[in-house]
Amino acid sequence: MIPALATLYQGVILEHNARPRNLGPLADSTHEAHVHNALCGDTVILRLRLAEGRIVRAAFEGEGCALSRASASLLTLAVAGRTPEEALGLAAELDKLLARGPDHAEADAARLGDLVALEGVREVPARRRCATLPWEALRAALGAWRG
Amino acid sequence: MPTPSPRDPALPARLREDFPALAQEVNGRPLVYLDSASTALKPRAVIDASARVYERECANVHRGVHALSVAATELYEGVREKVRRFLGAEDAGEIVFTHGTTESINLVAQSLGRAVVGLGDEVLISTLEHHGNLVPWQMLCAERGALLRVIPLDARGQLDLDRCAALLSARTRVVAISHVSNAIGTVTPVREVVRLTRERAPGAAVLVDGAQAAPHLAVDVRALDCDFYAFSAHKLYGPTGTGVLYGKRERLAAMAPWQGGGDMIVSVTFEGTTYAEPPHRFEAGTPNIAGVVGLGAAIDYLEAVGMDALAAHERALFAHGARVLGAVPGLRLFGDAEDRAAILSFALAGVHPHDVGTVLDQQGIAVRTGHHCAQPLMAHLGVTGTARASLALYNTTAELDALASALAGVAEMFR
Repeated sequence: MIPALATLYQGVILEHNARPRNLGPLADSTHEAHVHNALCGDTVILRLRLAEGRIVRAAFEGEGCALSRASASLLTLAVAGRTPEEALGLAAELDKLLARGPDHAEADAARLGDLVALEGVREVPARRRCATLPWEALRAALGAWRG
Repeated sequence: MPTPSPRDPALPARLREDFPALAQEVNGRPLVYLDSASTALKPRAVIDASARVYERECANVHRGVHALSVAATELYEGVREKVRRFLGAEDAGEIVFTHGTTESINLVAQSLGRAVVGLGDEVLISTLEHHGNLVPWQMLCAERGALLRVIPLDARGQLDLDRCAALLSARTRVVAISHVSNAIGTVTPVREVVRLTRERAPGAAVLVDGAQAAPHLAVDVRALDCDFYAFSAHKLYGPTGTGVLYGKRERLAAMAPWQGGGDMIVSVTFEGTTYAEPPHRFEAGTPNIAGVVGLGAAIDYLEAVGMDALAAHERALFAHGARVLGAVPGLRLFGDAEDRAAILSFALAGVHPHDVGTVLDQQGIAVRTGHHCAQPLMAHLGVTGTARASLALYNTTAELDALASALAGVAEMFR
Protein backbone atom coordinates (compact mmCIF):
# COMPACT_ATOMS: atom_id res chain seq x y z
CA MET A 1 0.00 0.00 0.00
CA ILE A 2 1.10 3.61 -0.60
CA PRO A 3 2.82 4.76 2.67
CA ALA A 4 0.49 7.73 3.32
CA LEU A 5 -2.52 5.46 2.86
CA ALA A 6 -1.04 2.79 5.10
CA THR A 7 -0.66 5.43 7.85
CA LEU A 8 -4.10 6.94 7.28
CA TYR A 9 -6.00 3.70 7.00
CA GLN A 10 -4.06 1.63 9.49
CA GLY A 11 -5.44 -1.59 10.89
CA VAL A 12 -7.15 -0.03 13.92
CA ILE A 13 -9.05 2.42 11.69
CA LEU A 14 -10.15 -0.16 9.14
CA GLU A 15 -11.17 -2.53 11.92
CA HIS A 16 -13.27 0.10 13.76
CA ASN A 17 -14.83 1.14 10.45
CA ALA A 18 -15.78 -2.43 9.61
CA ARG A 19 -16.92 -3.23 13.16
CA PRO A 20 -17.78 0.02 14.93
CA ARG A 21 -18.33 -0.18 18.70
CA ASN A 22 -21.35 1.42 20.37
CA LEU A 23 -23.08 2.17 17.08
CA GLY A 24 -26.77 2.72 17.68
CA PRO A 25 -29.20 4.45 20.05
CA LEU A 26 -28.50 4.80 23.76
CA ALA A 27 -31.30 4.21 26.21
CA ASP A 28 -31.45 6.70 29.10
CA SER A 29 -28.94 9.05 27.54
CA THR A 30 -28.54 12.28 29.47
CA HIS A 31 -26.55 14.27 26.91
CA GLU A 32 -26.79 14.38 23.16
CA ALA A 33 -25.45 16.37 20.21
CA HIS A 34 -25.97 16.30 16.44
CA VAL A 35 -23.15 17.66 14.32
CA HIS A 36 -22.98 18.04 10.58
CA ASN A 37 -20.18 18.52 8.09
CA ALA A 38 -21.66 20.73 5.38
CA LEU A 39 -18.74 19.93 3.09
CA CYS A 40 -19.66 16.27 2.69
CA GLY A 41 -23.11 16.02 4.24
CA ASP A 42 -21.89 13.65 6.95
CA THR A 43 -23.54 13.64 10.38
CA VAL A 44 -22.66 12.31 13.81
CA ILE A 45 -25.19 11.93 16.59
CA LEU A 46 -23.41 11.33 19.87
CA ARG A 47 -25.25 10.29 23.02
CA LEU A 48 -23.81 10.07 26.51
CA ARG A 49 -25.15 8.68 29.74
CA LEU A 50 -23.73 10.54 32.73
CA ALA A 51 -24.12 9.37 36.29
CA GLU A 52 -22.40 10.61 39.42
CA GLY A 53 -20.15 12.93 37.50
CA ARG A 54 -18.89 10.32 35.05
CA ILE A 55 -19.68 9.27 31.49
CA VAL A 56 -21.06 5.80 32.02
CA ARG A 57 -21.56 5.04 28.36
CA ALA A 58 -21.31 6.71 24.94
CA ALA A 59 -22.91 5.66 21.66
CA PHE A 60 -23.15 7.17 18.19
CA GLU A 61 -25.21 7.06 15.03
CA GLY A 62 -24.93 8.82 11.70
CA GLU A 63 -23.54 8.72 8.21
CA GLY A 64 -19.84 8.97 7.76
CA CYS A 65 -16.62 7.87 6.14
CA ALA A 66 -14.16 5.35 7.55
CA LEU A 67 -12.28 8.08 9.43
CA SER A 68 -15.32 9.60 11.11
CA ARG A 69 -16.80 6.19 11.95
CA ALA A 70 -13.54 4.90 13.39
CA SER A 71 -12.99 8.13 15.29
CA ALA A 72 -16.51 7.99 16.75
CA SER A 73 -16.13 4.33 17.65
CA LEU A 74 -12.78 4.98 19.36
CA LEU A 75 -14.30 7.97 21.16
CA THR A 76 -17.08 5.90 22.70
CA LEU A 77 -14.47 3.52 24.17
CA ALA A 78 -12.08 6.27 25.23
CA VAL A 79 -14.55 8.42 27.18
CA ALA A 80 -16.40 5.64 28.98
CA GLY A 81 -15.74 5.82 32.72
CA ARG A 82 -14.19 9.28 32.53
CA THR A 83 -15.33 12.57 33.97
CA PRO A 84 -16.40 15.21 31.46
CA GLU A 85 -13.18 17.15 32.22
CA GLU A 86 -11.08 14.09 31.43
CA ALA A 87 -13.04 13.45 28.21
CA LEU A 88 -12.59 17.08 27.09
CA GLY A 89 -8.90 16.76 27.99
CA LEU A 90 -8.67 13.82 25.58
CA ALA A 91 -10.32 15.93 22.86
CA ALA A 92 -7.64 18.59 23.42
CA GLU A 93 -4.92 15.93 23.28
CA LEU A 94 -6.31 14.69 19.94
CA ASP A 95 -6.18 18.26 18.62
CA LYS A 96 -2.49 18.30 19.50
CA LEU A 97 -1.98 15.00 17.66
CA LEU A 98 -3.61 16.38 14.51
CA ALA A 99 -2.04 19.85 14.57
CA ARG A 100 0.43 20.74 11.83
CA GLY A 101 3.24 23.22 11.74
CA PRO A 102 6.30 23.82 13.90
CA ASP A 103 4.62 25.42 16.91
CA HIS A 104 2.33 22.70 18.19
CA ALA A 105 2.95 20.84 21.41
CA GLU A 106 3.78 17.16 21.34
CA ALA A 107 0.73 14.95 21.99
CA ASP A 108 0.78 12.54 24.89
CA ALA A 109 0.61 9.17 23.10
CA ALA A 110 0.18 7.17 26.29
CA ARG A 111 -2.83 9.24 27.25
CA LEU A 112 -4.37 8.89 23.76
CA GLY A 113 -3.99 5.09 23.61
CA ASP A 114 -5.70 3.65 20.51
CA LEU A 115 -6.63 7.17 19.37
CA VAL A 116 -3.04 7.52 18.15
CA ALA A 117 -4.23 5.49 15.14
CA LEU A 118 -5.80 8.76 13.86
CA GLU A 119 -2.37 10.39 13.43
CA GLY A 120 -2.33 9.77 9.64
CA VAL A 121 -5.03 12.47 9.30
CA ARG A 122 -2.40 15.09 10.17
CA GLU A 123 -0.83 14.69 6.72
CA VAL A 124 -4.19 14.80 4.88
CA PRO A 125 -5.66 18.17 5.90
CA ALA A 126 -8.67 17.76 3.58
CA ARG A 127 -9.83 14.94 5.86
CA ARG A 128 -9.09 16.47 9.27
CA ARG A 129 -12.68 17.37 10.00
CA CYS A 130 -13.79 13.77 9.32
CA ALA A 131 -11.73 12.66 12.30
CA THR A 132 -12.67 15.60 14.54
CA LEU A 133 -16.44 15.62 13.86
CA PRO A 134 -17.29 13.10 16.64
CA TRP A 135 -15.17 15.16 19.06
CA GLU A 136 -17.05 18.30 18.07
CA ALA A 137 -20.16 16.36 19.03
CA LEU A 138 -18.56 15.50 22.39
CA ARG A 139 -17.80 19.15 23.08
CA ALA A 140 -21.31 20.16 22.04
CA ALA A 141 -22.94 17.44 24.15
CA LEU A 142 -20.91 18.41 27.21
CA GLY A 143 -21.41 22.12 26.58
CA ALA A 144 -24.59 21.87 28.61
CA TRP A 145 -22.90 19.96 31.41
CA ARG A 146 -22.51 21.56 34.82
CA GLY A 147 -20.24 19.75 37.23
CA MET B 1 1.38 5.58 -15.76
CA PRO B 2 -1.45 6.89 -17.90
CA THR B 3 -0.24 7.85 -21.32
CA PRO B 4 -2.42 9.09 -24.15
CA SER B 5 -3.67 6.02 -25.94
CA PRO B 6 -3.88 5.50 -29.70
CA ARG B 7 -7.36 4.10 -29.12
CA ASP B 8 -8.56 7.57 -28.17
CA PRO B 9 -11.02 8.74 -30.72
CA ALA B 10 -11.59 12.08 -32.37
CA LEU B 11 -9.14 14.35 -30.54
CA PRO B 12 -5.37 14.10 -30.88
CA ALA B 13 -3.42 13.47 -27.67
CA ARG B 14 -1.11 16.40 -28.44
CA LEU B 15 -3.93 18.71 -27.21
CA ARG B 16 -2.82 17.70 -23.71
CA GLU B 17 0.32 19.73 -24.24
CA ASP B 18 -1.83 22.87 -24.40
CA PHE B 19 -2.69 22.45 -20.70
CA PRO B 20 0.25 23.32 -18.43
CA ALA B 21 -1.47 21.88 -15.33
CA LEU B 22 -1.37 18.39 -16.86
CA ALA B 23 2.43 18.40 -16.80
CA GLN B 24 2.62 18.12 -13.00
CA GLU B 25 2.84 15.20 -10.62
CA VAL B 26 0.48 14.90 -7.66
CA ASN B 27 1.55 12.80 -4.69
CA GLY B 28 4.41 11.51 -6.80
CA ARG B 29 2.21 10.33 -9.67
CA PRO B 30 1.32 11.95 -13.00
CA LEU B 31 -1.88 13.94 -12.50
CA VAL B 32 -5.05 12.24 -13.75
CA TYR B 33 -7.53 15.11 -13.70
CA LEU B 34 -11.10 13.83 -13.65
CA ASP B 35 -12.74 16.82 -11.96
CA SER B 36 -13.42 19.13 -14.91
CA ALA B 37 -17.08 19.48 -13.94
CA SER B 38 -15.84 21.34 -10.85
CA THR B 39 -13.49 23.43 -12.92
CA ALA B 40 -11.76 22.66 -16.21
CA LEU B 41 -8.01 23.06 -16.62
CA LYS B 42 -6.96 26.06 -18.70
CA PRO B 43 -5.10 25.94 -22.01
CA ARG B 44 -2.00 28.11 -22.40
CA ALA B 45 -3.93 30.36 -24.82
CA VAL B 46 -6.44 31.31 -22.09
CA ILE B 47 -3.77 31.91 -19.45
CA ASP B 48 -1.81 34.08 -21.89
CA ALA B 49 -4.86 36.06 -23.01
CA SER B 50 -5.81 36.95 -19.43
CA ALA B 51 -2.21 37.74 -18.47
CA ARG B 52 -1.80 39.93 -21.56
CA VAL B 53 -4.63 42.18 -20.39
CA TYR B 54 -2.62 42.92 -17.25
CA GLU B 55 0.58 43.35 -19.22
CA ARG B 56 -0.78 45.54 -22.00
CA GLU B 57 -4.43 46.61 -22.18
CA CYS B 58 -4.40 47.33 -18.47
CA ALA B 59 -7.13 49.94 -18.36
CA ASN B 60 -10.77 50.17 -17.41
CA VAL B 61 -13.52 49.64 -19.98
CA HIS B 62 -16.18 52.09 -21.20
CA ARG B 63 -14.49 55.00 -19.41
CA GLY B 64 -11.45 56.64 -20.89
CA VAL B 65 -10.63 58.25 -24.17
CA HIS B 66 -7.03 57.12 -23.85
CA ALA B 67 -5.65 54.40 -26.07
CA LEU B 68 -5.40 51.60 -23.50
CA SER B 69 -8.98 52.10 -22.33
CA VAL B 70 -10.19 51.99 -25.92
CA ALA B 71 -8.18 48.81 -26.55
CA ALA B 72 -9.51 47.16 -23.36
CA THR B 73 -13.07 48.12 -24.30
CA GLU B 74 -12.65 46.66 -27.78
CA LEU B 75 -11.32 43.39 -26.38
CA TYR B 76 -14.10 43.18 -23.80
CA GLU B 77 -16.94 44.02 -26.20
CA GLY B 78 -15.39 41.74 -28.82
CA VAL B 79 -15.92 38.81 -26.47
CA ARG B 80 -19.59 39.75 -26.16
CA GLU B 81 -19.92 39.22 -29.91
CA LYS B 82 -17.98 35.94 -29.64
CA VAL B 83 -20.33 34.68 -26.93
CA ARG B 84 -23.33 35.72 -29.02
CA ARG B 85 -22.06 33.54 -31.87
CA PHE B 86 -21.12 30.69 -29.49
CA LEU B 87 -24.68 30.57 -28.11
CA GLY B 88 -26.44 31.29 -31.41
CA ALA B 89 -28.04 34.44 -29.96
CA GLU B 90 -29.48 37.09 -32.23
CA ASP B 91 -27.90 40.18 -30.75
CA ALA B 92 -24.75 40.88 -28.69
CA GLY B 93 -26.97 43.07 -26.46
CA GLU B 94 -28.52 39.85 -25.18
CA ILE B 95 -25.22 38.80 -23.59
CA VAL B 96 -24.63 39.99 -20.00
CA PHE B 97 -21.28 39.34 -18.31
CA THR B 98 -21.50 38.21 -14.69
CA HIS B 99 -19.21 36.54 -12.18
CA GLY B 100 -20.53 33.07 -12.94
CA THR B 101 -23.60 30.91 -13.43
CA THR B 102 -24.73 31.43 -9.83
CA GLU B 103 -24.68 35.20 -10.22
CA SER B 104 -26.47 34.95 -13.56
CA ILE B 105 -29.29 32.98 -11.93
CA ASN B 106 -29.46 35.33 -8.94
CA LEU B 107 -29.70 38.26 -11.35
CA VAL B 108 -32.79 36.75 -12.99
CA ALA B 109 -34.30 35.67 -9.65
CA GLN B 110 -33.87 39.14 -8.18
CA SER B 111 -34.66 41.29 -11.20
CA LEU B 112 -37.26 39.37 -13.20
CA GLY B 113 -38.35 37.25 -10.23
CA ARG B 114 -39.27 40.15 -7.95
CA ALA B 115 -41.24 41.77 -10.79
CA VAL B 116 -43.28 38.81 -11.96
CA VAL B 117 -43.54 36.38 -9.02
CA GLY B 118 -46.23 37.26 -6.50
CA LEU B 119 -48.24 35.72 -3.67
CA GLY B 120 -49.41 32.21 -4.61
CA ASP B 121 -47.45 32.12 -7.87
CA GLU B 122 -45.19 29.21 -8.68
CA VAL B 123 -41.60 28.64 -9.70
CA LEU B 124 -40.81 25.27 -11.24
CA ILE B 125 -37.42 23.58 -10.91
CA SER B 126 -36.37 19.92 -11.08
CA THR B 127 -34.94 17.31 -8.71
CA LEU B 128 -31.67 17.49 -10.65
CA GLU B 129 -30.84 21.07 -9.71
CA HIS B 130 -27.52 22.23 -8.33
CA HIS B 131 -27.97 24.40 -5.24
CA GLY B 132 -27.09 27.36 -7.50
CA ASN B 133 -30.35 26.87 -9.41
CA LEU B 134 -32.37 26.05 -6.32
CA VAL B 135 -31.49 28.33 -3.42
CA PRO B 136 -31.99 31.63 -5.36
CA TRP B 137 -35.52 30.49 -6.25
CA GLN B 138 -36.22 29.27 -2.75
CA MET B 139 -35.17 32.70 -1.42
CA LEU B 140 -37.38 34.44 -3.98
CA CYS B 141 -40.38 32.24 -3.18
CA ALA B 142 -39.96 32.82 0.55
CA GLU B 143 -39.84 36.59 -0.02
CA ARG B 144 -42.82 36.69 -2.40
CA GLY B 145 -45.04 34.09 -0.73
CA ALA B 146 -44.74 31.93 -3.83
CA LEU B 147 -44.50 28.17 -4.16
CA LEU B 148 -41.44 26.24 -5.35
CA ARG B 149 -42.56 23.17 -7.30
CA VAL B 150 -40.28 20.36 -8.37
CA ILE B 151 -40.34 18.26 -11.56
CA PRO B 152 -39.56 14.71 -10.39
CA LEU B 153 -37.26 12.20 -12.07
CA ASP B 154 -38.09 8.82 -13.49
CA ALA B 155 -36.19 5.68 -12.46
CA ARG B 156 -33.44 6.41 -15.00
CA GLY B 157 -32.74 9.90 -13.64
CA GLN B 158 -34.54 11.75 -16.43
CA LEU B 159 -37.11 14.53 -16.07
CA ASP B 160 -40.62 13.12 -15.88
CA LEU B 161 -42.18 15.14 -18.70
CA ASP B 162 -45.75 14.04 -17.91
CA ARG B 163 -45.37 15.38 -14.39
CA CYS B 164 -43.71 18.49 -15.77
CA ALA B 165 -46.72 19.09 -18.01
CA ALA B 166 -49.07 18.54 -15.09
CA LEU B 167 -47.14 20.97 -12.86
CA LEU B 168 -47.22 23.79 -15.41
CA SER B 169 -50.18 26.14 -15.01
CA ALA B 170 -51.30 29.74 -15.29
CA ARG B 171 -49.65 30.23 -11.86
CA THR B 172 -46.22 29.26 -13.16
CA ARG B 173 -44.05 32.37 -13.55
CA VAL B 174 -40.57 30.87 -13.96
CA VAL B 175 -39.26 27.47 -15.04
CA ALA B 176 -35.58 26.97 -14.11
CA ILE B 177 -33.85 23.76 -15.15
CA SER B 178 -30.37 22.41 -15.78
CA HIS B 179 -29.36 21.53 -19.31
CA VAL B 180 -26.97 18.86 -17.99
CA SER B 181 -26.97 17.54 -14.41
CA ASN B 182 -23.65 18.21 -12.65
CA ALA B 183 -24.11 15.18 -10.43
CA ILE B 184 -25.29 12.41 -12.76
CA GLY B 185 -24.84 13.83 -16.27
CA THR B 186 -28.46 13.64 -17.40
CA VAL B 187 -29.08 15.81 -20.49
CA THR B 188 -32.54 17.31 -20.09
CA PRO B 189 -35.00 17.83 -22.97
CA VAL B 190 -34.89 21.62 -22.73
CA ARG B 191 -36.68 22.20 -26.02
CA GLU B 192 -39.55 19.98 -24.91
CA VAL B 193 -39.80 21.73 -21.52
CA VAL B 194 -39.89 25.11 -23.31
CA ARG B 195 -42.60 23.86 -25.70
CA LEU B 196 -44.71 22.58 -22.77
CA THR B 197 -44.21 25.87 -20.93
CA ARG B 198 -45.35 27.97 -23.90
CA GLU B 199 -48.42 25.76 -24.23
CA ARG B 200 -49.45 25.48 -20.59
CA ALA B 201 -47.98 28.54 -18.92
CA PRO B 202 -47.80 31.23 -21.59
CA GLY B 203 -45.81 34.19 -20.33
CA ALA B 204 -43.67 32.12 -17.96
CA ALA B 205 -39.92 32.59 -18.41
CA VAL B 206 -37.66 29.57 -18.92
CA LEU B 207 -34.14 29.82 -17.50
CA VAL B 208 -31.60 27.16 -18.40
CA ASP B 209 -28.61 26.49 -16.12
CA GLY B 210 -26.05 25.60 -18.76
CA ALA B 211 -22.98 25.42 -16.51
CA GLN B 212 -22.44 21.73 -17.30
CA ALA B 213 -23.76 21.82 -20.86
CA ALA B 214 -21.81 24.62 -22.52
CA PRO B 215 -18.45 22.77 -22.15
CA HIS B 216 -19.80 19.61 -23.78
CA LEU B 217 -22.41 20.28 -26.42
CA ALA B 218 -23.13 22.92 -29.04
CA VAL B 219 -25.71 25.28 -27.54
CA ASP B 220 -28.19 27.16 -29.72
CA VAL B 221 -30.39 29.38 -27.57
CA ARG B 222 -32.65 30.26 -30.49
CA ALA B 223 -33.29 26.59 -31.29
CA LEU B 224 -33.93 25.93 -27.58
CA ASP B 225 -36.19 29.02 -27.48
CA CYS B 226 -35.36 29.53 -23.79
CA ASP B 227 -35.65 33.02 -22.27
CA PHE B 228 -32.39 32.83 -20.31
CA TYR B 229 -29.26 30.70 -20.52
CA ALA B 230 -26.49 30.87 -17.91
CA PHE B 231 -22.97 29.43 -17.89
CA SER B 232 -19.55 29.93 -16.30
CA ALA B 233 -16.24 30.56 -18.06
CA HIS B 234 -14.21 28.41 -15.67
CA LYS B 235 -15.97 25.19 -16.58
CA LEU B 236 -15.42 26.07 -20.25
CA TYR B 237 -11.60 26.06 -19.92
CA GLY B 238 -11.72 29.80 -19.12
CA PRO B 239 -10.88 31.86 -16.02
CA THR B 240 -12.75 31.76 -12.71
CA GLY B 241 -14.91 34.69 -11.67
CA THR B 242 -16.51 35.19 -15.08
CA GLY B 243 -19.88 34.08 -16.35
CA VAL B 244 -22.55 34.79 -18.89
CA LEU B 245 -26.25 35.40 -18.81
CA TYR B 246 -28.03 35.26 -22.14
CA GLY B 247 -31.47 36.83 -22.03
CA LYS B 248 -33.95 37.40 -24.85
CA ARG B 249 -33.86 41.07 -25.78
CA GLU B 250 -37.47 41.78 -24.81
CA ARG B 251 -37.00 40.04 -21.45
CA LEU B 252 -33.86 42.01 -20.55
CA ALA B 253 -35.45 45.26 -21.74
CA ALA B 254 -38.34 44.79 -19.32
CA MET B 255 -36.11 44.07 -16.34
CA ALA B 256 -34.95 46.54 -13.69
CA PRO B 257 -31.30 46.65 -12.60
CA TRP B 258 -30.47 44.44 -9.64
CA GLN B 259 -27.24 46.13 -8.59
CA GLY B 260 -26.58 49.85 -8.85
CA GLY B 261 -23.28 51.55 -9.51
CA GLY B 262 -20.98 52.84 -12.17
CA ASP B 263 -21.17 51.70 -15.78
CA MET B 264 -24.91 50.87 -15.59
CA ILE B 265 -26.26 54.42 -15.95
CA VAL B 266 -27.00 57.05 -18.57
CA SER B 267 -27.16 59.97 -16.17
CA VAL B 268 -27.26 60.45 -12.41
CA THR B 269 -28.50 63.33 -10.27
CA PHE B 270 -29.40 63.32 -6.59
CA GLU B 271 -33.05 63.30 -7.70
CA GLY B 272 -32.75 60.16 -9.76
CA THR B 273 -30.89 57.98 -12.22
CA THR B 274 -31.55 56.96 -15.80
CA TYR B 275 -30.34 53.44 -16.32
CA ALA B 276 -28.38 52.22 -19.31
CA GLU B 277 -29.95 49.82 -21.78
CA PRO B 278 -29.20 46.10 -21.50
CA PRO B 279 -26.68 44.54 -21.29
CA HIS B 280 -24.83 47.36 -19.45
CA ARG B 281 -27.80 47.92 -17.14
CA PHE B 282 -26.85 44.62 -15.50
CA GLU B 283 -23.09 45.18 -15.31
CA ALA B 284 -22.61 47.60 -12.42
CA GLY B 285 -19.04 48.35 -11.46
CA THR B 286 -15.79 47.36 -13.12
CA PRO B 287 -16.24 43.92 -14.65
CA ASN B 288 -13.71 41.08 -14.65
CA ILE B 289 -12.02 42.33 -17.81
CA ALA B 290 -9.16 39.82 -17.85
CA GLY B 291 -11.67 37.05 -17.10
CA VAL B 292 -13.91 38.05 -20.00
CA VAL B 293 -10.94 38.27 -22.36
CA GLY B 294 -9.84 34.83 -21.16
CA LEU B 295 -13.35 33.54 -21.87
CA GLY B 296 -12.97 34.84 -25.42
CA ALA B 297 -9.73 32.88 -25.78
CA ALA B 298 -11.44 29.76 -24.41
CA ILE B 299 -14.20 30.05 -27.01
CA ASP B 300 -11.59 30.50 -29.75
CA TYR B 301 -9.82 27.39 -28.46
CA LEU B 302 -13.02 25.34 -28.38
CA GLU B 303 -14.02 26.48 -31.85
CA ALA B 304 -10.60 25.46 -33.17
CA VAL B 305 -11.01 22.02 -31.55
CA GLY B 306 -14.58 21.84 -32.81
CA MET B 307 -17.56 21.24 -30.52
CA ASP B 308 -18.62 18.22 -32.62
CA ALA B 309 -15.18 16.59 -32.38
CA LEU B 310 -15.12 17.35 -28.65
CA ALA B 311 -18.56 15.81 -28.14
CA ALA B 312 -17.56 12.69 -30.11
CA HIS B 313 -14.36 12.37 -28.06
CA GLU B 314 -16.25 12.65 -24.77
CA ARG B 315 -18.94 10.20 -25.92
CA ALA B 316 -16.29 7.60 -26.69
CA LEU B 317 -14.52 8.29 -23.35
CA PHE B 318 -17.81 8.04 -21.50
CA ALA B 319 -18.66 4.68 -23.09
CA HIS B 320 -15.19 3.37 -22.25
CA GLY B 321 -15.42 4.71 -18.69
CA ALA B 322 -18.85 3.19 -18.09
CA ARG B 323 -17.51 -0.14 -19.34
CA VAL B 324 -14.32 -0.28 -17.25
CA LEU B 325 -15.96 1.13 -14.10
CA GLY B 326 -18.86 -1.29 -14.54
CA ALA B 327 -16.36 -4.14 -14.25
CA VAL B 328 -15.10 -3.00 -10.81
CA PRO B 329 -16.55 -5.32 -8.12
CA GLY B 330 -19.19 -3.61 -5.99
CA LEU B 331 -19.29 -0.42 -8.08
CA ARG B 332 -22.64 1.19 -8.75
CA LEU B 333 -23.04 3.88 -11.43
CA PHE B 334 -25.74 6.51 -10.81
CA GLY B 335 -27.99 7.79 -13.57
CA ASP B 336 -29.03 5.80 -16.55
CA ALA B 337 -30.51 8.50 -18.74
CA GLU B 338 -30.71 7.84 -22.47
CA ASP B 339 -28.81 11.06 -23.05
CA ARG B 340 -25.89 11.65 -20.67
CA ALA B 341 -22.83 13.87 -20.85
CA ALA B 342 -19.29 13.46 -19.58
CA ILE B 343 -20.10 12.56 -15.95
CA LEU B 344 -19.57 9.19 -14.28
CA SER B 345 -21.06 9.28 -10.79
CA PHE B 346 -20.51 6.16 -8.72
CA ALA B 347 -20.32 4.49 -5.32
CA LEU B 348 -18.33 1.52 -4.09
CA ALA B 349 -20.28 -0.84 -1.84
CA GLY B 350 -19.25 -0.37 1.78
CA VAL B 351 -16.80 2.47 1.10
CA HIS B 352 -17.65 6.11 1.80
CA PRO B 353 -17.04 8.45 -1.19
CA HIS B 354 -14.53 10.52 0.81
CA ASP B 355 -12.41 7.48 1.49
CA VAL B 356 -12.57 6.66 -2.24
CA GLY B 357 -11.48 10.23 -3.01
CA THR B 358 -8.55 10.16 -0.59
CA VAL B 359 -7.22 6.82 -1.83
CA LEU B 360 -7.46 8.00 -5.45
CA ASP B 361 -5.80 11.32 -4.59
CA GLN B 362 -2.83 9.50 -3.12
CA GLN B 363 -2.39 7.98 -6.58
CA GLY B 364 -2.60 11.34 -8.35
CA ILE B 365 -6.22 10.85 -9.48
CA ALA B 366 -8.49 13.85 -8.87
CA VAL B 367 -12.22 13.16 -8.56
CA ARG B 368 -14.95 15.05 -6.76
CA THR B 369 -16.63 13.36 -3.83
CA GLY B 370 -19.63 14.34 -1.77
CA HIS B 371 -23.07 15.74 -2.55
CA HIS B 372 -21.98 17.86 -5.54
CA CYS B 373 -24.10 20.78 -4.27
CA ALA B 374 -27.17 18.73 -5.15
CA GLN B 375 -28.40 17.42 -1.80
CA PRO B 376 -32.06 16.94 -2.86
CA LEU B 377 -30.86 14.80 -5.79
CA MET B 378 -28.65 12.77 -3.42
CA ALA B 379 -31.70 12.23 -1.18
CA HIS B 380 -33.62 11.06 -4.26
CA LEU B 381 -30.82 8.59 -5.02
CA GLY B 382 -30.82 7.47 -1.38
CA VAL B 383 -27.18 8.37 -0.72
CA THR B 384 -25.39 11.20 1.10
CA GLY B 385 -22.86 11.50 -1.70
CA THR B 386 -21.13 9.89 -4.62
CA ALA B 387 -17.71 9.94 -6.21
CA ARG B 388 -17.70 11.66 -9.57
CA ALA B 389 -15.28 11.38 -12.46
CA SER B 390 -16.00 14.12 -15.00
CA LEU B 391 -14.48 14.15 -18.46
CA ALA B 392 -12.99 16.82 -20.66
CA LEU B 393 -11.27 17.12 -24.01
CA TYR B 394 -7.83 16.29 -22.55
CA ASN B 395 -8.81 13.01 -20.90
CA THR B 396 -7.82 9.64 -22.32
CA THR B 397 -9.05 6.08 -22.12
CA ALA B 398 -5.75 5.20 -20.41
CA GLU B 399 -6.69 7.58 -17.57
CA LEU B 400 -10.04 5.86 -17.15
CA ASP B 401 -8.24 2.51 -17.07
CA ALA B 402 -6.00 3.90 -14.31
CA LEU B 403 -9.13 5.03 -12.41
CA ALA B 404 -10.77 1.62 -12.73
CA SER B 405 -7.65 -0.20 -11.59
CA ALA B 406 -7.23 2.16 -8.60
CA LEU B 407 -10.89 1.61 -7.67
CA ALA B 408 -10.44 -2.14 -7.72
CA GLY B 409 -7.63 -1.53 -5.21
CA VAL B 410 -9.92 0.59 -3.01
CA ALA B 411 -12.56 -2.13 -2.96
CA GLU B 412 -9.86 -4.62 -1.97
CA MET B 413 -8.46 -2.36 0.78
CA PHE B 414 -11.81 -1.84 2.56
CA ARG B 415 -13.03 -5.41 2.12
